[in-house]
Amino acid sequence: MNEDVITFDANVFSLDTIKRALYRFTDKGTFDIQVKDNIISVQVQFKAPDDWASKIKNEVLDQDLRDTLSKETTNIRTLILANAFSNTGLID
Amino acid sequence: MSLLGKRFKLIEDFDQSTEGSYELLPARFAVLDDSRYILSNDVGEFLVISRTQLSDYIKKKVSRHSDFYFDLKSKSFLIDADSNVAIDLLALKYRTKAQQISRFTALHLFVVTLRCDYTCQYCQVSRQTDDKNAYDMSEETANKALDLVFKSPSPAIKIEFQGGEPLLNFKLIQYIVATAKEINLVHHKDLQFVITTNLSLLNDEVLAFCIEHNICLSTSLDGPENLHNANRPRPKQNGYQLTVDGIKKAQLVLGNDKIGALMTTTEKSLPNVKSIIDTYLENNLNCIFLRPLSPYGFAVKTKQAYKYDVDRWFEFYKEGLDYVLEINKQGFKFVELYTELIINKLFSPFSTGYVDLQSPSGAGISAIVYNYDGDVYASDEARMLAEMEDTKFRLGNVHTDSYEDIILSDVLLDTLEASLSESIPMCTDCGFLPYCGTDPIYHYATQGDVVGNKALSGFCSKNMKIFRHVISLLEDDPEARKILLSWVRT
Amino acid sequence: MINLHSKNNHVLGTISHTLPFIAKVTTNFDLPKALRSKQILFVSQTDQDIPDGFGLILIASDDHYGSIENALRLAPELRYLKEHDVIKFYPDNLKIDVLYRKEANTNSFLVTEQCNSFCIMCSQPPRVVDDYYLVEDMLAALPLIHPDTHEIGITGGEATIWGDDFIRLIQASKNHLPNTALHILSNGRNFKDLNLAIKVAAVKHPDVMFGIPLYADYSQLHDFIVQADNAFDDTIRGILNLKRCKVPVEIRVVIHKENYQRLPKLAEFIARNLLFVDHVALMGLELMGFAKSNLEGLWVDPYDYRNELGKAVETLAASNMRVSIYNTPLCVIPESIRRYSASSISDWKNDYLDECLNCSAKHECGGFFSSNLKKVSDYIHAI
Repeated sequence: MNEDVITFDANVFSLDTIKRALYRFTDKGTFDIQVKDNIISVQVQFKAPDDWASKIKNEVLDQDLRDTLSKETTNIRTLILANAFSNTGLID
Repeated sequence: MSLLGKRFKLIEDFDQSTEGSYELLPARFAVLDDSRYILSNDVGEFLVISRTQLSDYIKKKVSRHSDFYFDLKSKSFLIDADSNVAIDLLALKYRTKAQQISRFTALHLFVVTLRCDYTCQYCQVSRQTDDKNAYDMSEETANKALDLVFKSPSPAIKIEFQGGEPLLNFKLIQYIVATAKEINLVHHKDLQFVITTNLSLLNDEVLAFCIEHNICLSTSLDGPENLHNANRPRPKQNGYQLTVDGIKKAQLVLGNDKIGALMTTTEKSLPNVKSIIDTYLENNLNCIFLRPLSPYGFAVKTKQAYKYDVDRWFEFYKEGLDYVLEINKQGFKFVELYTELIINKLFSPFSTGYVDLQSPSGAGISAIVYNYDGDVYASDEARMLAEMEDTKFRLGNVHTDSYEDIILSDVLLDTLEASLSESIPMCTDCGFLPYCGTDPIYHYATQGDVVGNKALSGFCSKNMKIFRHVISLLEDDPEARKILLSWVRT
Repeated sequence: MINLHSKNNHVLGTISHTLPFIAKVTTNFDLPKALRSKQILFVSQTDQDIPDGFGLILIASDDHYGSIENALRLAPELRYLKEHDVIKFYPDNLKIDVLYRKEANTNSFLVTEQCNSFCIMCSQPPRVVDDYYLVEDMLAALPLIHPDTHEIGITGGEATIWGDDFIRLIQASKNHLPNTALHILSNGRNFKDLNLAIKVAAVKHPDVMFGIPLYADYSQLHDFIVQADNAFDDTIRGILNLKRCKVPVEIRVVIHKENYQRLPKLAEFIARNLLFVDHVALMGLELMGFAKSNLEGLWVDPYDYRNELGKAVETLAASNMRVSIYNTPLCVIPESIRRYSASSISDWKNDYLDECLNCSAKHECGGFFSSNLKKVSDYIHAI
């Protein structure tokens, strides 16, 4: 299929997650994103035929996981970096 | 039933954690293949896991009694009520990895002349001329450059002579070595020298000089005779023969560890990786660097850069690595250098110090180039861009600019900041980030900006293919794993 | 096996000591009179007159003697004593403790039996007892120890529970024996307090090393093995603090049924997180104390964990860490890693089997703990 419309429930996935997922496919096609009635619609134009719809859906799930991981670890990452660059005295 | 005496409590009694309530530590993941992912942390520790395990990990469904849980804990992917010392350890490990960069510019390239006696197909910079005044570095320029070299806080300094053919200006090399050593009497840095040369001008005088000052040589050997000569024609002579004779001589006089060879991949190289490696073996060289072609200079003009894409180069690399591993299985230690680099990024607590694959980029802060005319460039690639009339990454000139002007120049700082992997789309959450780098000048040359869209990037595509291939080998091929692990340097 | 203690001594006259007497042994009958009261004369030949003035006289023979003041017929099991050795004599029960032997391959001072851990394989099970006198004994013995001594050790229990007195022991070791290495066994947990590490470093002992056990690469297993919550975190923080203060640290891993399977992963953990420690010792079990009473839960034939041991050694060696295998006979160690084995068992508790008499590698092999002779690997064989 060279054209497709893929939809996502806006209550489940954030727009940011969708965008990050689509970004990874920018070499494979172009995307138009619209949001209406809590549904995110992505109109895709693929450069070459393939089962891109399911690949994109999988990538959205991955990006959603990344989103969770990032939110949970932001604070502790700051803590670790601050500790790393304080004077630990363990390296000359 | 416990087999221990009554006074001893069970393992459950010492577990202060509760099911499903661990805390995630910073991590990233990437697809490895159809069924597996790699989970990695900021210091490069990793686990290869299934999608289910990944999802369980993030959703906190991993059972605290499972081996997977213990692995996650041991490799600093989670903490729980029973133990949080992983935070201290992560901070320490991060600092260890980051320390190399803070030592600052260690590699200083001196382009002592643009004159060259070869006409290599892919060369970006050289000039066919005998006019020494036009394209040779002067002592005055060298002095100014050396002043800047010793302003670097790095405790180790490596001065690498480039060209053209550096030995065409051997007098200046002698001058720079002597002067650098004199200046170093005050600084006490670990000072090393390398001459990159095609070896055609290697004579006893040069060899004696190398012995006296412990200088290493680096040459180009693209493969067997017909391939090498097709890539690197030397007017009126057999370049291949000159090169291998030179290698032999240098090995004899200086020692095998003082002469190395690099190859450049061209269209003609692609079907011939095994014979290229054989050429290296025949010439007593124990390592090879299977490099891709860079998209700069004459390469672009002759459309070399577009003659093959990353996929085709990757087949070349895979076949080459397979062959290298076969050689190792037969009992001879032969190393593919890019793979060795990746292996060290995966397994070593230390940074590799390879300036072309790091974030922040090594441009200027790890390596810097002083051109024959005193112009200072952020990298060799930046110099090549200038040859194509784009001086965006020219940081200044030794005659007119101070160290501060050059190192704190807007173009350098902006480039470094903008191209930091941790803050770029796709890179920021990529599981391969700790092993990869950022190449602002490559992306500027190919896409027009220092960040680039990684989905379109040959740099990203190449590196991801290599990471996936090497990690899969480590996971699936025990014999390959053993050989690859023996390449870890500490 | 050598006995370091015995009550099997008999008086040959009156004893003027009322308090325990710590002194060095001499065979010099002509020792200047002014020095005699603080030394112990060791008599093995009977054709000499016993001189006056020595603090104690030990007759190491069964010949008849008349009445001599402050003299003992020495227990046969202690007749190995030599010039320069240091002993403690208890006048109330005639017990002699041998505190130091010049010819021993190693001399350790037990400074307490108290401990804040309760390791399931502990060869010196903790006791709740006020044994401060052990600190005093070491302080009394240190000045008497021969300055050529290569190395002394501090063991327990957990020596660091003595706090500032523990520091005194290190200081005294440096004062009296500046050329003698000091090896201290500790669980490292009290060094989670950086101040204690700073105090140790401040002594500036020229050659001190802490041997600290780590039994697993994650907390639940380590804490179980040492039977104490937070032990893993405390120990690691302790190691980090000691290394911050540039104090040498060795990690010791005793291998048994509970932890041998994860040994390769522990090696990876050490190579990645504790790369800066000075040495790693992978150790076989000593079947004394709790190791003996918990044998069923702890015993695994070393031959059966040879693969894990091999992987662990290779991981650590590949990271350029110094690694040794202790307390394991060569014949059950894979050949490829035998060169990492060290003869580590204190001579007084070291023995071999009959099978070993035919072994070509006996001289390089550490042999067995005397206490282990009744339970050895099924795969012991002469090489």
